[in-house]
Amino acid sequence: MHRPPATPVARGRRSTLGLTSVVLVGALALAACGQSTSGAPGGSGGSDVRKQTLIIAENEPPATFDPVQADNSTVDEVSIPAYDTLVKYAKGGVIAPAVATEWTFSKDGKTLDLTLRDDVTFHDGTRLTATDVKYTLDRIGRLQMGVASLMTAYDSAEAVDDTHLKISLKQPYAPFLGALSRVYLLNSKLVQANAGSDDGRQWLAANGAGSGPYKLTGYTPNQEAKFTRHDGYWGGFTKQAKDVVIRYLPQAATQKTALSNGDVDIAMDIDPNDWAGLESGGHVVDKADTNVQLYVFFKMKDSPAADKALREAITYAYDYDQHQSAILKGAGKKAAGVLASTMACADPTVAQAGYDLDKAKSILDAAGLKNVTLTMSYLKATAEMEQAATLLQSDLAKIGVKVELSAVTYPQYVEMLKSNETTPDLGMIYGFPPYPDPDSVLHLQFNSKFINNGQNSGGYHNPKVDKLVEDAQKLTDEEARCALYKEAQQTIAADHPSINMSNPQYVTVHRKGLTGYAYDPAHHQTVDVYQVQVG
Amino acid sequence: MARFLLRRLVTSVIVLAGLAVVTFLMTQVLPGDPARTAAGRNATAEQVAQVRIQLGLDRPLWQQFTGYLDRLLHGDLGVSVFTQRPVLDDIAAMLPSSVELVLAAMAINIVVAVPLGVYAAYRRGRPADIAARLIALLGAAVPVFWLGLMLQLVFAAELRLLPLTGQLAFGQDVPRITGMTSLDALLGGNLPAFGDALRHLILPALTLAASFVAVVARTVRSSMITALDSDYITLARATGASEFRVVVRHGLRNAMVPASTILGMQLGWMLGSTVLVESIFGRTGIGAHAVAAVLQSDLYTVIGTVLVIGVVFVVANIAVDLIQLWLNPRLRRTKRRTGEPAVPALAEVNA
Repeated sequence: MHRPPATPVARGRRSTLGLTSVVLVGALALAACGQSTSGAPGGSGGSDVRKQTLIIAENEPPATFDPVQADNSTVDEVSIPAYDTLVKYAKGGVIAPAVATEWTFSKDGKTLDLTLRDDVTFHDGTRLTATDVKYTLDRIGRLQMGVASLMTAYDSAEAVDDTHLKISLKQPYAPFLGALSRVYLLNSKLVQANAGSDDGRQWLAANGAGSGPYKLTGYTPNQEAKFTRHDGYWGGFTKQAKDVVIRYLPQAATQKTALSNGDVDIAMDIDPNDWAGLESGGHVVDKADTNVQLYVFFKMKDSPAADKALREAITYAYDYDQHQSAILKGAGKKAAGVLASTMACADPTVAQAGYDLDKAKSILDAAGLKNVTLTMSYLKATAEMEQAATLLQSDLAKIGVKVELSAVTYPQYVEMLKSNETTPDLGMIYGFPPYPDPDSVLHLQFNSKFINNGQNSGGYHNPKVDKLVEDAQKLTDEEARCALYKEAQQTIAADHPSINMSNPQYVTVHRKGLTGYAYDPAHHQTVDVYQVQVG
Repeated sequence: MARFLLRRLVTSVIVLAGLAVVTFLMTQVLPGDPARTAAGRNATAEQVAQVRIQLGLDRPLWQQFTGYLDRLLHGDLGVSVFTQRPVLDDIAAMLPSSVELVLAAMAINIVVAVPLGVYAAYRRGRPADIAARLIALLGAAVPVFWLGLMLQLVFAAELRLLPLTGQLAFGQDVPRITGMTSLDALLGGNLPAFGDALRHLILPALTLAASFVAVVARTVRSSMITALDSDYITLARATGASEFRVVVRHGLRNAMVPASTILGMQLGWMLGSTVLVESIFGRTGIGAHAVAAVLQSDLYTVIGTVLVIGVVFVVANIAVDLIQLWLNPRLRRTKRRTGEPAVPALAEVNA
């Protein structure tokens, strides 16, 4: 039984590189063979279809498509194309009509009357009525998850007729209207038909039940979500894409290559070092002001940081300018107080420390503080936090304050904040207001109700601030509300509960020829695809 | 044979049960609170408490555990606190794609590493041997992450020979039958999509395979050297058998026994290593899913994915044992007489 010597082994006798070439040729042949059958890469086979499709690169897939969880940006992003909301934030932080055309708060601030559009249809053709809105709100009230945390004041709703709805609140709560910008309206009949035993959570996790401009047509986990135009959309279409695809590409480097290749149209997570290169290569780098701030919260009890003089000295020891230029590469502003300057009622006169080592040292000397060692936790999630943590550590060393850094994950950090003993002396974290109402910062981050439970990370407790914020919630008169919020900001600034490190911008890079893209401060890290024109 | 299989199945069940217990206990020390994750970042204390009751996390640990074991015995891996879908459904959606990637990488691994090892052994000490070992070493030394990005830059961005990310080109669609894109395209009779899926598979599979090639090549090389030095090779040569027959039929068959053990273990490791590759190439997969679950303290998903990867390890081990029995008939006889374990020591195989 003799076989011809046609294996790599035999071939290798003739050439030392024989084997390698066989492997290489094999791989290339395979590649070429695939190529011949399916056309050029990047899908240029159907180039018209590609032009009519908006492809967005995003780094993290959503856990679910159930809009009840849209308090987090990945779920918010996939809810925006598929669902309508009652109201939305227009430019400048003003609440604008969407499905609701008019609304009035009662004098006592406890009931809200809304008038709805009568031409809104769900993707299955059913008309949206006040009953659907009531169902959506009640479902959030039952589940107590996700956006429910923004709507604790909700008590009940009554569908007066198809286009009129009356919402009753447990207590007067003016920011409620802003919170409605996160409530995505469900097709009540469709959800009820599929509700199962879990109020439709499992069904909605993978299916759409909305009336938005695009309907969900497919999801490949961790890979991409596909949407296609809902032709009955009440807003109509001009030059919006026919299809929208959100591709999940966790690596910034991959997003960059995909963008330069034309595989994606918008990328949300491009490395700052690549901005200039992409811009000169013909892409548009969109830098937008945000309501996001980076804070370091001081532990206010049983810690060296409980000493107000130490806290003040530290706020003067941080090099804010270097943070802007070196860490943010210019894409950000210095913080002015605890509220981002883009927020309504932000008080620009609030005292904000600048970099002044001499002043920091003299405050320490006056207070007789020496040999201070502090623990600090930060999240390793972003380059900004990592670099800011090291910068703060080296800046504080200059005034003789030693900082022990530890990088943690978000769940770890939340766990640490559960008791005062485990809370770090300094804790670095972003504040992402869920909607641009001052209440979502001053109440959620500085009300003593949230000490050891929620976002009051350092355990800040000032009864005056608590009262100001809670009183403001009851006022429907915007001017009067603002006055209280301004006083709260002044009071907080005097206590130095945090280093307000920066107010970073949000940078999106997209291809030329796309118009209408605009960062929406009310929906951080998302794209309002309906505003984008591809033609 | 049947008794052997039965014994392996029983031990496998014990191993998996142990794995379930250990992972359950380990998830208890994971930082983070599942109830808070589910309730959302801005949730109040009352809301978190209500969600905790909904999820049954307020009950004592032993009750949660026995409840979990009970469901596990009925094939129910629980419901993810984060996605709200049954853990099994999520895994079923993700696993086939990872398996497809692992199988492709394994194919590349075998096709490259085995000839490389055989060839290096055959030309032992010569420049060709050194070159082969260098190639293997290079593959193992280069970080997976970097290699993936470089392959993307060269083959996708510059040469435009292969697609950058994803599993199918834009506009291609295949029915979901097995969940493996290429197989589904083939089953659906869509040849262009099949070719496209293969092209999407090449770079990630190469990236995944690179670090495993060196180990297999080295194992094959060393056992091949032992084999080539043994008496039966001299005997085979003396009988006038062709060089190819001597090397492959007599030498490689014996050298493959230890190599198959390594390959079997690698199957499990590869599945665990899909995390980075899947994230670089934007592929669906269980690796990324497991990491996300840990970060979100989604305990049932964590246990579920660990168990599934465990099952793959166990199944691969049984398969390796069967392959070895087939490769080396002597093991069958030894085992029947003495009841020795099926995995032989290297010395015994090469004797």
